[in-house]
Amino acid sequence: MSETPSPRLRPTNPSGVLYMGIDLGTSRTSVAASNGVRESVASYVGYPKDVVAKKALKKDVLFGDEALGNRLALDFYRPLAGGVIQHSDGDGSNPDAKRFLKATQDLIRHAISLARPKQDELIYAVVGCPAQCSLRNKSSIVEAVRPVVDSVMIVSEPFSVAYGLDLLTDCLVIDIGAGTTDLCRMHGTMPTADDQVTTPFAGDHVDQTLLELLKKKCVGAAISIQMVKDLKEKFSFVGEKRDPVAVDLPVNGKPTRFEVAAELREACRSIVPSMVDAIHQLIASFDPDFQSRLKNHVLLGGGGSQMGGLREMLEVEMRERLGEGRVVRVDEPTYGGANGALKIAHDMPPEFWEKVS
Amino acid sequence: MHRLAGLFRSKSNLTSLKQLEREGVRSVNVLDIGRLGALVGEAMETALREALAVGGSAEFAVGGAQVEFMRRLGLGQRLADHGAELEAQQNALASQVGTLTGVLAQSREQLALSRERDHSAATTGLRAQLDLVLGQTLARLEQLATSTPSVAAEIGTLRRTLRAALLELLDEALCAAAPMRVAGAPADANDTKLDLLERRVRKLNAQLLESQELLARTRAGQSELQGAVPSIHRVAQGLRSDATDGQAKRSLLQAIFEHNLELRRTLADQPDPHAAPTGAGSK
Repeated sequence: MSETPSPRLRPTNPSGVLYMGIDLGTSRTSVAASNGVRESVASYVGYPKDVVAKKALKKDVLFGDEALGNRLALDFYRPLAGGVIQHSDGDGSNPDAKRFLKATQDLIRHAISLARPKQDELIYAVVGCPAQCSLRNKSSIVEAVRPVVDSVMIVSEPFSVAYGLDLLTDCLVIDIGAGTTDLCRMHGTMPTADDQVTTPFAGDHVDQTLLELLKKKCVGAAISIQMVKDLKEKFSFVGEKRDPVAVDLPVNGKPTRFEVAAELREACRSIVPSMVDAIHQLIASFDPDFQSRLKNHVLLGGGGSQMGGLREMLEVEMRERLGEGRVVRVDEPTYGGANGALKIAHDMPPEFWEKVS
Repeated sequence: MHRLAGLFRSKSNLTSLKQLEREGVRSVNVLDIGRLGALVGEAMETALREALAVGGSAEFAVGGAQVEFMRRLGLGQRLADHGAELEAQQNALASQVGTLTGVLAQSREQLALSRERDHSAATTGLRAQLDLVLGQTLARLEQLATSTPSVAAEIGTLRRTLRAALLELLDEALCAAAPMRVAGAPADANDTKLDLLERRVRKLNAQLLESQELLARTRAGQSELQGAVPSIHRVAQGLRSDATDGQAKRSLLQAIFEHNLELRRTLADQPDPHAAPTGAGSK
C-alpha cells in the first residue's frame, strides 16, 4: 500500500471558503460542494498488488468502478460496511483497522478532489453517518476526514436529508443505503437516540439474499456478488405486478438464460418487514397529538428508495398497521444526504467551524 | 532560448538507433530540447520580471522560477510538495518574526528605562552642583548687600527666578545633547543591539512576504493544473438572519456543534488506538 500522503496544510491567506457535504456511503460516496460541483464514486479502493500490476495500471491507487474493474490485480477494499469504517469498533489492535482507515482516507481524499477545490480555499465539510453510529465509529470518521479538510462535523444521515429539504418538523425520514436503513423522526429539535432507528436490512442484505436464492434457482451457474448487485440495480422491485426478468449466467462457461423475477422480488422484499416495524415503533411512541402528521409525512431516500413499488408497498403496510400513511420519495436519492450536509455546512456559524477545526 | 537548447544538446550523449536496438531498447521517449529550452527560458523570464517588479531578492526570483517551471510542465504533485515546504517555511519565519519582535520591543523598553535613569541621575547631580554654586554666589551677594536692607529682600526673589531659569537651560542642554550623542558619537552597545534586531526583523518580514507570495503562486498553479472551480463564497457564511425556521435551525445547528465539540473532547481524551505500543515498559 502506498504511503499516507501528508495532511492538508491550512491556507494562511484563504481566497474563499468551500463548503462540502459528504455522504460517506457503504456503496457510494457522494459530495456536493459550494462551487456547484456534485460528484459520486462507488466506495471501492484498490492498491496494485505488485510492481507488475502497478506498471500495467500506471497508478498507486484506484477508486470506484475503475478499482472494481481491475480488482483481481489489486488489494481491493470496500472500506465501509454497515455505514461505518470496517474494523473501527475494535481497540485498534487489529492490523486490518489501520488498512481500512487508510483506504477510507484515500477514498475521502479522492471524493474531495472530485469537487475540484482550489488549493487556497478553506474546506469546511459536514459528513453524514448512520443514525445510530457508535462514538468510536464517529471518531474514526472524524479521524479519516480531518487530515484532508480544514474543519469537519458529523451529522446523522437521515437528519441531513431532512435538513436539506427543510422538513424539520413532524416528518419521518427513511434512508435506505447499502449497509443500513436509517429512520429518523423530526420534531423541530435535535433528534435523540429514541427518535432514530438503524437496521442492517438494506442493499447488501438484498444482495446476499438474492445470491442465495439464485444459487438455488440457477443450478450450475457461476454467480458473483457483483453480478447480483448489477442485476438488483437494473431490475429491483417489490410490487405485485411484474415483468419477466431474464438474465444470462455462465453455466460451465456458456451463457445460459434464467428467469429470476420471483427471486429478485423476494430478495427486495426481505428488507421491508424490518422497515415497517421501525416505522411502527417510531410512530407509535410519538406524541399521540402529532402521530397523524408523522404518518402522512414519510420521506423515502437513499439508493434503496429506487426499488420499484416500494413507496406503494410501504403505504399499504402503514394503512394496515397504523390506519393511514403517505410516503414520498426524494427527488435525488444519490445526493439527498450530501445536499443536506452541504446546507448544514453553509448554515453553521463561522465561529463554530473555527472551534472544531 | 536557442543558446539554452544548444547547451542542453552539448550535454547529451550521441547514440545510434542500431546501438539502442543492440542494447535491447525497443521504444524511446523523444524530448524536444528546443521546447525544453523554451520552457526554462520562459519560466526564468517570467520569474525575473516579476521579481524585479516587486524588488524581490535573488532567492525570490529563484523560487519564482521553480514554481513557474513546475507549472509549465504540469507537475501537480511537485507543486503540492513545494507548496507544503513553503507553508512550513512560512510558519517557521512567522514564528521567528514573532519572537524577534517581542525581543525588540523588550529591548526598546529596557533601553528607554535605562536612558531615563541615566538622565535622572545626571540631572540630580547637576542640580545639587547648581544649588551649591548659586548658594555661594548669593551668600556673597547678601554679605555685600547687608548695608542696604531693601536689596536683601530682593535677593530671595532673585535667587528663585535665577534657579528656575538655570534649571530650564540645563534641561534643554541635556535634551539637545542626547541626539547629538546618537548621531555623532559612536553608538553604545544597546544601540547596536537594537539596530541589529531591527534589521533582522525587517529582513525576516521581507522574507515572509516573499514566501507568502511564492506560496500564493504555487497554490494558483496547482489550482490551474487541477482545473479547480472556485467556491461561490469568499468568506464563511452562516445562517441568514431572515432564514425560514431561523430560530429552530439555529438551535439545531447549536446542538450539532455541541455534539461535535463533545466528540472532539472524547477523541482527545482517548488514547490513540492506532499508536504504536510504548515499548519496553508496556505490558
